[in-house]
Amino acid sequence: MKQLLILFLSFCFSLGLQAQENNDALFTKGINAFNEKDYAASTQVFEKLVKTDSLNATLHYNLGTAYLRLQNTSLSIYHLEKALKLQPDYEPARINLNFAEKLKTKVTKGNLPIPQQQMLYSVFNFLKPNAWAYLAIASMFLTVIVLVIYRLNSNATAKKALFTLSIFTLVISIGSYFISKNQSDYLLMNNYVIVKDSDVSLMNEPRSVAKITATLNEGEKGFIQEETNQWIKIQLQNDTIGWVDKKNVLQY
Amino acid sequence: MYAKHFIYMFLALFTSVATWAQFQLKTQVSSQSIGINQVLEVRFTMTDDGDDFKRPSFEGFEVVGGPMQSVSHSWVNGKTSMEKSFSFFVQPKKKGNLVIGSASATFEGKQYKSQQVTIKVGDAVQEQPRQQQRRRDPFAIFDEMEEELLRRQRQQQQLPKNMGQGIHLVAKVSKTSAYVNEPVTIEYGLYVSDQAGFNTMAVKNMPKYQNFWNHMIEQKQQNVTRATLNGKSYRYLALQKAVLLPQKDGTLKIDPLELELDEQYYTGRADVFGMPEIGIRKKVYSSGTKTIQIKQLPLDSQPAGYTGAVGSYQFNVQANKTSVKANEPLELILTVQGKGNLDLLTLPKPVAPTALELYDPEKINRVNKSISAGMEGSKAEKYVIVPQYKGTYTIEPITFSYFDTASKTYKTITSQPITIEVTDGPELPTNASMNNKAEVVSDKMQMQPLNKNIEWFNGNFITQNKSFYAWWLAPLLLLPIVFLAKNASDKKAGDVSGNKLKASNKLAKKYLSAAKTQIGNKEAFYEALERCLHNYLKAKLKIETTEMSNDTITELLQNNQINSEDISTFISIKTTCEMARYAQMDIQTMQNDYDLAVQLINSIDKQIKK
Repeated sequence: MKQLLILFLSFCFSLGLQAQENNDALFTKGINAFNEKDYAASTQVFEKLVKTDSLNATLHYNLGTAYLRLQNTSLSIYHLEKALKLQPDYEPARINLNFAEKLKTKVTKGNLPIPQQQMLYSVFNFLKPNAWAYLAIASMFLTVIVLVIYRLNSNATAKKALFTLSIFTLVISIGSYFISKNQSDYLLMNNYVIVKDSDVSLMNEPRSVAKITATLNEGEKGFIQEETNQWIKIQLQNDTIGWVDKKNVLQY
Repeated sequence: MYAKHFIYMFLALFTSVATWAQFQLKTQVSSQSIGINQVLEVRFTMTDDGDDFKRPSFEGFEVVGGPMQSVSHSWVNGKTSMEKSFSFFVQPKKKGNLVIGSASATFEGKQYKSQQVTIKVGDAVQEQPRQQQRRRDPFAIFDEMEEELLRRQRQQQQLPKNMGQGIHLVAKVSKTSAYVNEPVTIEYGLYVSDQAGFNTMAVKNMPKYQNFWNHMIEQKQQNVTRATLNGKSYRYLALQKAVLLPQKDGTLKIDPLELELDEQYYTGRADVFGMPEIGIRKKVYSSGTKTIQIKQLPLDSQPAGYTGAVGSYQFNVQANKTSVKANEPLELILTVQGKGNLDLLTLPKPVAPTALELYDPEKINRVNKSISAGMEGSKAEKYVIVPQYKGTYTIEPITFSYFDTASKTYKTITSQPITIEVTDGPELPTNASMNNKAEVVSDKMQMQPLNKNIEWFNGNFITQNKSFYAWWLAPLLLLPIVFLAKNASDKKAGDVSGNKLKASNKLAKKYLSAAKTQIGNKEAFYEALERCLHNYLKAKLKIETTEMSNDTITELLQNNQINSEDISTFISIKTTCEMARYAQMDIQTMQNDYDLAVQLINSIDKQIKK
């Protein structure tokens, strides 16, 4: 049983390894372009990498920082926020995000709501979602092994101990499954939007001919409340609520 | 004046006497020397009734009137004389000595020729006030009456010839085809020939310039100049000049300018003293409707942020300082310079970070309007920027787009980004500095470099994959398999001892409770108690009833490390039970024995479990 698990894990790992060599070269290219102050080229490279590995905090951080150098307000804020979402304790991303916020033409005050999963995510972030998933599998195997030993053993004391152990590992397995699921769901779900362009209209209703509630500036943030095919209902930092066209915003 | 006429008359008499009865063809001119703008009367007079009069070619002159024929008969002292004359009004075309050739006539089969006359044409002279020319001559009153009659007759003949030739009202448009918003100039002018003139001018209809944005070009003074129209020289007066910006595509019409003039014209005849006669009539002139084809600007290639500029421009962004202290103002000037619809275009707005306070701009327009260039000049906006915080800020490149009429394409000019360094002043507070954690961060005012260590993740959560559930839950399937297999193998091994043990244990408990109910009933009680002890031993020591002797029990109990006290108690209770079944005992011992047995069982239980 253990051998099978090892085989499975090493298989997953080797698959990843092949793709990595290519990406490593690209990654170095992006870093070099950045060091040579060719930020536009650097953003291109990192954009390509982010496409293949869209949930990598490091890539988002590097891309956001390159955009920051290019003075691109919305994209730098977006990628740095995304890096912070993926890794809430990423200090350099927080610092650079402060710089990116300075690029905004209008400073907005007020806080946006925080989704519940975010709290849970930051508490259990010491392990990545996949690590939790592997832990769930491993502890499930352990549970079964312990239970088998329990059944085969006739010593009453040993049996009692084995049974308690199996309950414990089962709880760990189920718990880490739910943590893993919650984390991956949170990372795949979009909770906020960043306004991509300047002079974006915030509509009263999800229609293009509706009354305009407010005009948004580049880099402004909103909390997603509702979604249709084309429109998103967002709550702004000043608590204004309205609909915005999906193509004018970046979601994260 | 009167005297002069008398002298003429006398002279005429004398000459007629002197040339009596001889046919003569004479050339008379009103003046030997005239200005170029004056009209000369040439009269050919014959002293008898000649035929076949042929006029000269008047080279260098233009015939503006005539010929007029007059015949006069006179009887003086019984002699008849006759005079016949042909008059022409001519105007010189050029300066210098011009020759009027000879005319010819035939009298009694013989051809006569007049002599040539040389006229000296000088510079234009100021014309005499017309009133004077039209003054009545008491002596010519009958002539005038006659002339009036003739004039009425002739007016009808001559009007078509003179009308509209002397005065032209013309509208000149710089382009007949233009783009929307491309400046077009229009100029209305009055061409007046030297033969014509007018007294008063009244505007009947002013053009409204519908669908145009119009700018009048102000004229400081109205000068009469000379200009040529269709190869002829005219006096020219510019009436109105305007720069028009078309606002709509399609064929646009410009209404005509209509003027009513009190026009002077030469009737083509001379008054009795040889002065050309001038009439006055009202006439309406129109410049005619002008049409201009206006083309729409191409929409498909229109760049983003196009604000309607058409023409050819230069765009420039300048800051007067790039290094300042906080709260020290600096100026940012955006200038558009060139030709085109300058006053309709809007300048792009600069975008500055919030840390730089941007005030509303001051607008500086320097636009010249002229017929030759349309609209030309510069338009500028001056922004005052006051930096609030220390740091380096960038004013993003500003883009200005216009439609270039020469190349018929859109052109975009992008300025260089301007970096402003604020050397002194408070630090920029950030959004995040509101909470404590970020305050530590804001101390590190350095922008962080890239992260050079990458851990690839490759974007798959294994919980999203169905195979995860297989790996996670499959082991649980093993459990029932293992458990069932174990049970089956146990059965196969025929687990007799195990089952027996369980049964004995059950029986022991059963008999113990039976004994309790039977306290007082001596035989039943002890029987139950004995069975209980038997079964208890069977369960604990795995012995059969047949082996149940005191020695074996003692040995087995000792092997199980039960202390000797309990062993002896067990043996004594066992003996008591056996004895009681056959001997008399009192009731007191029954309760005592029961308690003892319960104690004993507990004690042995504990010791065996150890």
